[in-house]
Amino acid sequence: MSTDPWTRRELLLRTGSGFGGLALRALCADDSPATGAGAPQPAGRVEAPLVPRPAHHPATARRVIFLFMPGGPSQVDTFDPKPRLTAEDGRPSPKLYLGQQRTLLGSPWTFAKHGDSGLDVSELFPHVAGCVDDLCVIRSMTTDDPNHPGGCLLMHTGERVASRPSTGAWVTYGLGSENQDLPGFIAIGAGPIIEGARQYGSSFLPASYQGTFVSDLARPLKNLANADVSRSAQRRELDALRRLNELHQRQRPQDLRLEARLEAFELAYRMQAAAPEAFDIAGETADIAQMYGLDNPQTANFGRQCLLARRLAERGVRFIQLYHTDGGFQPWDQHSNLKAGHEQHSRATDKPIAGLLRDLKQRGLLDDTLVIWGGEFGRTPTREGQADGRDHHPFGFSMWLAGGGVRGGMTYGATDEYGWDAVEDKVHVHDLHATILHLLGLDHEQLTYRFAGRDFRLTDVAGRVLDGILA
Amino acid sequence: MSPAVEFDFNRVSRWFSLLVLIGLGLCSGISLGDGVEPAKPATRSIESDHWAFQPLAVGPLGDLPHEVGLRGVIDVFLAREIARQNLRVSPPADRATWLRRVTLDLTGLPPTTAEARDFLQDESADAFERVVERLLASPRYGVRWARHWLDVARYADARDLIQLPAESDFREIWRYRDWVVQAHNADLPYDQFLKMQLAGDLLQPADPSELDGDALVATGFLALADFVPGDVDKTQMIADYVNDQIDVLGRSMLGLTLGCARCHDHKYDPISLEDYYSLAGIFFSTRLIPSPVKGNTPLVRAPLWPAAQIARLEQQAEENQQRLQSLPGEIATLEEQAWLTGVWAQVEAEAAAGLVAAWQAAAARTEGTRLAVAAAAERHGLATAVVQFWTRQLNREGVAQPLRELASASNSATAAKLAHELAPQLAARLREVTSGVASATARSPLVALRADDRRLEVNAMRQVTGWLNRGRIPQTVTPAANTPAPTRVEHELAGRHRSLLRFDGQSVLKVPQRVPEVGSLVVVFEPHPAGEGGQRLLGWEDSATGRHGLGLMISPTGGVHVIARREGAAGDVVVPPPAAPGPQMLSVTWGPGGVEVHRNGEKVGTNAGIHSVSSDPAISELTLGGPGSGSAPRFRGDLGELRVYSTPLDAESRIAIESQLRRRWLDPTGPEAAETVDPWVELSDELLSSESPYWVASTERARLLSASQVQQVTTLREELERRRTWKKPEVPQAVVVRDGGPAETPHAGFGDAHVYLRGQWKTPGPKVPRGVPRVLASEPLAIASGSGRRELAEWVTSPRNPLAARVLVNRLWQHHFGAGLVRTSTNFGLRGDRPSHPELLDHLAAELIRSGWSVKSLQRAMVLSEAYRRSSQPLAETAHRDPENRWLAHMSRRPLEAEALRDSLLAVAGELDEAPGGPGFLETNPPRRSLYLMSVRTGAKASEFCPLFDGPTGGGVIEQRGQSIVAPQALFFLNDPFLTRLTERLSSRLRLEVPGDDLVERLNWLYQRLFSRLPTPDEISIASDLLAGDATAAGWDRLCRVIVCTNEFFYVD
Repeated sequence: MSTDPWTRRELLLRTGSGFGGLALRALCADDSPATGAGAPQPAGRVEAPLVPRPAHHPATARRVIFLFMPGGPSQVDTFDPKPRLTAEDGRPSPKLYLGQQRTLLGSPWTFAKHGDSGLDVSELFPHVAGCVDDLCVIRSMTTDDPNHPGGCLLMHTGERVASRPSTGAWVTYGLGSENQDLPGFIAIGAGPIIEGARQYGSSFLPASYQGTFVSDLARPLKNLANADVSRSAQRRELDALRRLNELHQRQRPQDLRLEARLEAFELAYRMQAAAPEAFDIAGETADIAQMYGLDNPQTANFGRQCLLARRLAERGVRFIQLYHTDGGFQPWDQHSNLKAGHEQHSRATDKPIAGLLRDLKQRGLLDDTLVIWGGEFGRTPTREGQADGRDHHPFGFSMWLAGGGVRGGMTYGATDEYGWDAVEDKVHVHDLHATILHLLGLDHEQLTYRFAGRDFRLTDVAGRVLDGILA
Repeated sequence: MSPAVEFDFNRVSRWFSLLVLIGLGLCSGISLGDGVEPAKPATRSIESDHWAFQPLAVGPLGDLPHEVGLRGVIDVFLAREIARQNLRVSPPADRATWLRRVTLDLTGLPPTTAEARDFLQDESADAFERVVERLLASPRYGVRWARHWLDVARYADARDLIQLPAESDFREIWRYRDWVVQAHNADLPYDQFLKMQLAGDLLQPADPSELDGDALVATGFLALADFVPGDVDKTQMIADYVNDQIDVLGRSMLGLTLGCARCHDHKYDPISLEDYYSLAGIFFSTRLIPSPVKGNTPLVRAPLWPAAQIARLEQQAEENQQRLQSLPGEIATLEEQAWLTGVWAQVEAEAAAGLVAAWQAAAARTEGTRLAVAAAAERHGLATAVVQFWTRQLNREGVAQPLRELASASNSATAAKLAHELAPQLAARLREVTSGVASATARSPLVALRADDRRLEVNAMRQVTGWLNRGRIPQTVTPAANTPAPTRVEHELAGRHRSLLRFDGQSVLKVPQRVPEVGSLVVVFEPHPAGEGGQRLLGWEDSATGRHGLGLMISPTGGVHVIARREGAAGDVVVPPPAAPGPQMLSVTWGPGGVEVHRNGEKVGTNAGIHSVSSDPAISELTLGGPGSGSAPRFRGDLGELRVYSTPLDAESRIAIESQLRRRWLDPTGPEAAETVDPWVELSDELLSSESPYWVASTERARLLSASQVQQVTTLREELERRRTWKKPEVPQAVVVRDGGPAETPHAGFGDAHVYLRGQWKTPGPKVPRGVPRVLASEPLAIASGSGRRELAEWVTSPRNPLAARVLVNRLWQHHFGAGLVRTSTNFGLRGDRPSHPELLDHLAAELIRSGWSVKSLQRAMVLSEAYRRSSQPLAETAHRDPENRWLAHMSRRPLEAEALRDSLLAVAGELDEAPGGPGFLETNPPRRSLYLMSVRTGAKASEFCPLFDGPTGGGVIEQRGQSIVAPQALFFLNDPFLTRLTERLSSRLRLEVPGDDLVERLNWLYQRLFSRLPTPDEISIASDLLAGDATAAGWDRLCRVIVCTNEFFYVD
């Protein structure tokens, strides 16, 4: 290390301007020197965690909205048309599924080409189809785990079983957040999700990078108000606290944690006003509400989530993770009842998602906001048992990206003619993660955290950036 | 800032060449064939110069005086480095600071005011020693220090409380946590502590009648593995949990990241793929699941009682069950016996007079029957009811004739004759009752209906118009309104023509009897093969509301569904159809022993879900053939006989009744037609019916008991109550591992493992012999029998392995001084930190082993050292030259961990509940110690408190807690209802303890309780400003909140 950290600290103390925001920045700078984001840090170090940090390279995306579709939407029914599968409906599948012979199941929906790009979208997503010129559909996704828990963990953390930080935690660790009055990483879902907090957790990263999970929109964050203490009374308490802490600090110079903690109280004080404002959608116009489908009970739930995502994005929250959990904790898991299930869930999400994309675009936010859509895996091109359903399918499935420096109106990669295996430009989940980080200006090989003597990465020892989709 | 790991690149590259060679060897092995040959022994021994793999080096201490003890040794080693670095040590902290530091450190709670006063006033030479002894002996010590181990053991209370079935989750793992607490408190030798966790199931007493439950529970360490029990790929699932076990073994006990070698040779440490699978073979030969099943796989569990104790319990439960069945009958018998004795005495005394009086009254009818009866009664000194009874008998078909003959005779002759004819009947009844329960209950059914009853009334169409219930209270059973009546048919049943009642799928009869809460029924019937499924045979049921007391639903093939309900709880029993269709005799008993069903004498089902059925006052009738209304299909088939008892039949009674009914209905050689009835039997039945003048309802009979019988009944009732409330203790179970791989997998039994190339089980490489990493052991592990876990445990704790002791010493050091001598306390490998004081580390490790692995001895030395006593404030120059406090010229200021923070708040508020152990709790509010706050791996339903303050979530091995400072923590302090409650409690306690409103006195109390010191004038003035004009309760509440928010409360100097 080239500069002596204590020089900076001493300077801070001697200039007397010491306390306040400078302390946080000083701490931050000490812990992540010139290399910027994600310099290896020892475990257990104190952090001023959410202060914005410089990226590794110029970024095209400043924030992420990940629309996660738990259960696994079917690729051959949404964004990856397979005429041959439809033609051979009912015939034995040319491949075994986990050792079992199954029959092919053609899509019950028709596809049409949309937009200037002529991208294929099935009739399940009429509104999203209107945005295809902004979408980059990856048709060659693969993952390693055919189970929901492992699939979800891999998609969120890059690891199937063991505890690892989630993508949102990595990103917030790497870049901090642009709004100090709100958490940097917020996950929104109505109900429980299969691997719970691990899907948005920070694991061995400092706890401040974990996603703040919001399930009750009326009470988005804990402890935002105290019914018994007025704001002015609280101000008096904080002033007394500051005076007591300053007495304490006088005999304990050099320990910036003491100042950082004092400042955390001030931040909390501000957050009590900022957070309710961010989560309050009452002030949105009727046009906007309608755009997100808030006027229709079928779309209102996810519409509200999408609208909140935009509000948080606007306010500089770094990573926003939405879980579509209307109709259960993994609604897209249609082992049976594919027709009714996929129709219900696409109807619930289609208009809100299109609303989000259009709204971001009209506000100029889509340029530097990366929107990601997909589940933990796809679904088999074959029928499951006698039922009208499809099984879990990790070997080739679709996800799409939009905004944030991704080329719109394109497809990337391909599955075989049945929609079974990814055969062209395969994209592993690690590759997706590497690309997300890249768009945010982070090098997935440099974004590391020293834990238990090893430098950990979101992409473990793999991952490649998909240069072909960069605008 | 990084005291960089200094690589000897020559050495490391030598390493790599060796590993590459091994890797090549593996690859060529595969290309030759399927590669099942064991690895070549030539690769056994690997040399490494890496410090952590070297034997403990304990050099001479120089001219150190012997009496300094271990704590002196610590200070000497530290002083050498401090001198070498040219640093100056900070002065000792004041005594109050040391006391708060050591008390929080060893117990997780701040010192009380009294503890502080005692210590601050104690001027004796051993004052410090006595504090440390007190703290080490406190049970709070274990609660505090167990948590440090649980952090590295990736402890969680459950994996998933929402979606995972209990049998696939490790929710009994709290026993392991409690054992870790006890082991710490007992200062269980550390080698023993490790051995029990790795192989406790194999370290059991030789005597099979004994069991070391603690040792079994300790294997929870391995059973806690982090994996997905619902993985569809079970081979992968097993490989995943084995990987987790290897990983946790490596990091918690050996300070090695062994898991890195799962897919490829370890990049930095000399741990190869082969080494990994040598260890994996041991864990593959150990089972955490009995065998994989589709869906969520259950975990292995073990009872914590010896087999003999479990057998004794089963025996006790069986006996309880039997007594529960027989006791109600025994009580009823005594009461019935008392009643019968009374009836007999009265019959003997006045039957003849009654009969004669009735005869005379009949003769004098001119005055009107009622008056004649009354007059005759008066004349004979009898109750009118007695004469009325005999009058009825004189008009009863079958009985009248012999009675008239008697009555016309002289009074004395009548008496003699009556006595002669009735005595045997009543005597027989009495004898039966006295001789045992069986006969008593057998003769006292509540409902007794026989299709071949002479007194069953039919019309010209042979439809039933009335059917006398011959039960304890004779009543007439009639068809329900608006339904056709069943018809009497002569039909073949079990090879004989018998009189039966035929139900046609419409007919319903009603018996005006409420359902007994406990009791039995026996029914003989044959369903028609063309009937509907789910038809009701009989039952007490409110078809309008669907409420059931008890009912029988049958299928045309003879399948039976017994519906038995108690306020929503079900005791249903479903019995599949018999092998061959035909008539069946079904007995159902419900009572304290649950519901039990016999078909043709054979037990066919039980359900212990309920111990009595609901007796809903709205359901006043038993319906035969179906419910009274509603759409449920009704019975189609033939009914022979039905009996209902209001006491549960014990086995003997049931068998007696069943054999009687079998003879009557199911025996091909049994009697063809209805039996003729003896008039004297009829008469004695009448005398014992509710029509009798001597009738006493069964609920009233207790008053007839003699004093000695009352005593007997009381004793029996007490026994009944005792047995009813006896709850069979649940045999405590633990999630454990067992020796031998999971059944129905390639790992079943014991065997060496294949290397999985690139970590993939689908690409198996050669087999490697089970053992430990070669860099650590030059000798292969000599496995006598079993998986090798016992040998592994022995090796881990043997003097041949220097890592276990070094890792422990370092971990203790980390928790006492804020950072380890090796800062990466779970990684002593080449990529880990190097020890700052290698000689000290080895000296303490050697001392640990020499002391018999006593953890407390080491800790005693650490906290009594000069170093531990120093101020946490660095001298300016030290802060500059050793910012990370590597050389310990001062102590390190530390924040309270999540648990210590919450426990301290509870303690100062006077709310702390120190109840030890048991399952964890979910909410933040219960004032128990935070060790017991649930952590759940998926996070759902888990407490949110600990993660907010960098507490564990049970996800993985935690080397060292984070120290984040974020706004949500401050929001907790400012607004959380839990904190608000505690500060209000603290405030009211303060106002109670210092009743006067003297500001300084109150602040003195507060500062002494929280910080073991008095407030300064500045602090008093700040408090006074805050309270200005509002020294009310609310004002003090606010002040208390501000004080617990301070950095002084949150940080330990």
